[in-house]
Amino acid sequence: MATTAKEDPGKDEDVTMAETSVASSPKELRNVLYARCATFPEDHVFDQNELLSFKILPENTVEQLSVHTKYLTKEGLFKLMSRDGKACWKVVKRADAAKYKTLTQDEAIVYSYIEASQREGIWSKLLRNKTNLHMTTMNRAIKSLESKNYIKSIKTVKWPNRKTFMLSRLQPSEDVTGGPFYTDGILDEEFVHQMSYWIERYIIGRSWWHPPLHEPSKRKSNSKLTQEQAEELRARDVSRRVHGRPRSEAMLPYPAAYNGYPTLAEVTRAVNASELSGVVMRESEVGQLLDILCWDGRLEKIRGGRSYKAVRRVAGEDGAMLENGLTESPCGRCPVFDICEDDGPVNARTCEYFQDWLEL
Amino acid sequence: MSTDVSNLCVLLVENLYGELTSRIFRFLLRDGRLSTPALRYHTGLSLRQVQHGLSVLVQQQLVFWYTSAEDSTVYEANTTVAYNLIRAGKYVQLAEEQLGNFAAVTVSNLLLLGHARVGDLVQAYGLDRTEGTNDPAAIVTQPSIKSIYNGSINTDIFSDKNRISLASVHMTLRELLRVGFVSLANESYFRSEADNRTEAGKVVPPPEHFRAKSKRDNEAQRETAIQEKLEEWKYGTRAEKEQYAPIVNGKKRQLDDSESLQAEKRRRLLLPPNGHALSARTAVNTSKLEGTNALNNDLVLCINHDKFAVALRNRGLTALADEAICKSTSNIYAEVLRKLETNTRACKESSDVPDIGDGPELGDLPYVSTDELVNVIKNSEELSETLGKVEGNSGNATELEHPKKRRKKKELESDDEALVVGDASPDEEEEDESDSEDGDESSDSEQANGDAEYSLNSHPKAPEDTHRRFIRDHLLLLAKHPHPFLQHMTETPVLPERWTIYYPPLMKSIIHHVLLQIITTRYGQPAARLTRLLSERGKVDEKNLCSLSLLNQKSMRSYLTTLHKSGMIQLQEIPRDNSRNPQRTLYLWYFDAERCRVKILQETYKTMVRCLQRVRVEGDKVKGTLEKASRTDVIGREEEFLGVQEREALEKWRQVEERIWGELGRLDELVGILRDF
Repeated sequence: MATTAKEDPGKDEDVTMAETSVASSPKELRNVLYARCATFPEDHVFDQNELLSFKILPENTVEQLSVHTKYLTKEGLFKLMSRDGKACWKVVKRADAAKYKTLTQDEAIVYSYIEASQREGIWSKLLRNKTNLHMTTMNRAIKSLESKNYIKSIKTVKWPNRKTFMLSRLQPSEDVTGGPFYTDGILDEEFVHQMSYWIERYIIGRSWWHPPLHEPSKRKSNSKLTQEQAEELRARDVSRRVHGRPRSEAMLPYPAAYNGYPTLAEVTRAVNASELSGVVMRESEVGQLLDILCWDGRLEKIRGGRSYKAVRRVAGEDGAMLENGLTESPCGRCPVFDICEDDGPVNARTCEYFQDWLEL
Repeated sequence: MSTDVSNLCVLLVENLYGELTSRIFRFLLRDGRLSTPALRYHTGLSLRQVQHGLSVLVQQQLVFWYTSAEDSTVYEANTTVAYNLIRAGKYVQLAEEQLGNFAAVTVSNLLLLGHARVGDLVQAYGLDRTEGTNDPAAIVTQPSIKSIYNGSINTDIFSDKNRISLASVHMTLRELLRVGFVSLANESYFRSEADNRTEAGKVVPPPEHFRAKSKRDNEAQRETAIQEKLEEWKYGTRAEKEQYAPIVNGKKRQLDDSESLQAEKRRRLLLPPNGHALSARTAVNTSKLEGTNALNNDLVLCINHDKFAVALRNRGLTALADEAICKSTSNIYAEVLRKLETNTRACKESSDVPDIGDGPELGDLPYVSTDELVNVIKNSEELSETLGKVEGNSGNATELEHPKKRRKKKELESDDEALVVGDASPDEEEEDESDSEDGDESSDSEQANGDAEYSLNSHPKAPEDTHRRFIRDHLLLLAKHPHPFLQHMTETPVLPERWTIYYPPLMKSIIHHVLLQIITTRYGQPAARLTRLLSERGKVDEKNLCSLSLLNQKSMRSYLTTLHKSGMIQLQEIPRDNSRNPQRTLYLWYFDAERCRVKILQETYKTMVRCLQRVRVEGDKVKGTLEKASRTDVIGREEEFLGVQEREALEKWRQVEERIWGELGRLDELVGILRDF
């Protein structure tokens, strides 16, 4: 009967004890039942039939089972739930159950909801609605839970002003933290800038041909390369290319047949290989950076958006802006252009910007 | 029509043709069509003055006029021509670039004269003094137009008179006609579009005449007949086209007796009924020009603004290709554009062409084949040197063969690295791409089909045809660029490989590019990021915008407000319930490119107006000196009559004027992109 329980890692002394002796007393029976259930994955939900099928209880009747489960639930070791209108249970770890025992009733309710919210956390207003507790009662419960270091307050990226709580032992999920671009719920602009700068250089190196600065004369002399030599040359070539390049006037286009324009997967791999970021970047996050670079007009998507190519000339680089007739004229940048009228306070005759511009 | 455009037009007219004309022009713009008595009433001028001013305006095609059945002539301002006055310098420059010095002189003369008979033009060169006519308009305009050309082109070459022969004048005119910079004017050129339609409606028989089944069919047939008629008026009837084709194409063929009847007909057509500007002389003396295929002296010529716009567009596109790809690619593109130019009558003529969605209909557009280009473009090292080598080194043959071997080897190894490594992207990915691309947008399909074909290893052509290969490479670069510079049509059993340009999407993409460029320089990179994001994603609410753009919420808001205030982006409010409580309202930002384009265009007009006004302000500052310098006895002897200070002031004024007119030229380029091309 208790054979399966032997495979239990045996965290619980009570349980192992119960296994060895023949299970007879109700307490022992409960322990065996609990231990049997604990072998399942943490979030497994047992229904009545499943529990009966363990054949732990001597008579194995529904009545008997309900007595035991009721007791276990009261102890906080089982959590009563319902599915399709029928009762079912979930196992609670002994350590957690012990926590509940030390809590007051209000605290237990609050704690249970915070626990249920898992890594997402729960907004204090929502918590109040769900628990139906009075503001002061709830605040007291929260304060006490915080002082016991059971829960912590976190900041979510989406709603930075909301007070959100989660269990202190959990790490907030990426939805909450906003991924690698956020530190403590605040956008890390420098990180974004540095990462996109690196990616841009990497893509420039891959999408334009940079004429070599020094012509390798050695290579021409021996037309037949051995395998090793060729590989070595190539490795050097590649290493030079992977580190990326700045934009330059000397950049030349690759022929149309060239298909080395990097894809999202390639960029992600390169970024992670560079180990610039402390955490491993996922494709979606690198994709976000690439999107931004595209929107900044520094990259463009080619091949139906699968590959990325660097734009040849970009405004704002090295201080040189791409100007056109409008933006370079004094009117194109005039802050009072809208009120500039023939007989108005500002007009072509009195314009100071024109004066400055003409005296350039 | 906004105030800025009409102000601009009035200023341009005033600059060139003086107070009187511009005054009439202003009232025509303000009040719409007016008859002579009405004009007299509004302007407060005498009949003589009004008539004088109108004659200049008509001569320069600055007004449309229309004599209705009730026998009163009404006048209407022609803003297109008025605006194009600003391009006069560019026209001359283009003519010089394409057809040489003398063509430039002819174009500038034609610009001075507005429209002119061939005979008068010839006479203007002083070659045919026997047929002297007085052209008041030309005399009026001569001094003032100098401010545009700085007086250089005209006078310089006129002094070289002895070199010009009658034959060369005719040849240049023919050449100009062939290129299309100059066209044969006829009555319809002097009527506004609406009047032309009314006239066409009178000429074309009523609906009952068409024996179609239903009334609607009758109407439809009549409509097409009217359109044909309008087309005929604009570009000449088929018979006329045939008649003038040999002249234009320079084949030797005299107008003999059998054709004189048609010529007579044409002549009648060319003469406006009230004969204000054109003298109705029919004396033609072609026999004088023995041996040359001269143009009939009574043909009336005028500048073809549409064609010049095409040429200007080509210039802009070439510059853009240079910016986006590289110099030699843009040179090849210029060649393609030049080839296509002959078949393009106007920038936006495709309005009557139905929406082209797919490849096969691209075939209807004028095209140029690879072979033609290969023949035209000189073989040079530059073509190959400006292309990157796939292997990233000097690209000898052994290197080109290597990748294949390497690829195989890499496939055996873990292919992780292979992906990071530049050109070794696995084969299956390539195939996969070309397959899926078929399903993409229409224009892509052909390119995708091409993909397999032009992969370097499987190139069908032998290595000796490298010249062709490099040209193709450059062309493919253009075709694959995010701006659809070219459309690639692959070889068919009947037709060779061809290239064409489908302008609407290209211009749309360029306009977008230009707008974003302006936003970037004006409001900064993050503003451009937000705008591009909005144009790609459509309507986005602030929260999403913040997380997508990875901008600080605070700074993002300030960018949004600036953009919104200047009218670049718009905000939509959607209340979630009936209370319209701002707390319960969704705010969506969006970017409307068309609205933004119009806004920027208006701003450009206004800027141009301010520039022109400033020129005058600057001119007023040195008015005295200017007047003195333009005295006939002072011209040419400035050193003698003008003091040091005066000369300095003059020099400074000249620089200021040059600067502002240069700026106007650049502003006009922007107008070209945003409006005309």
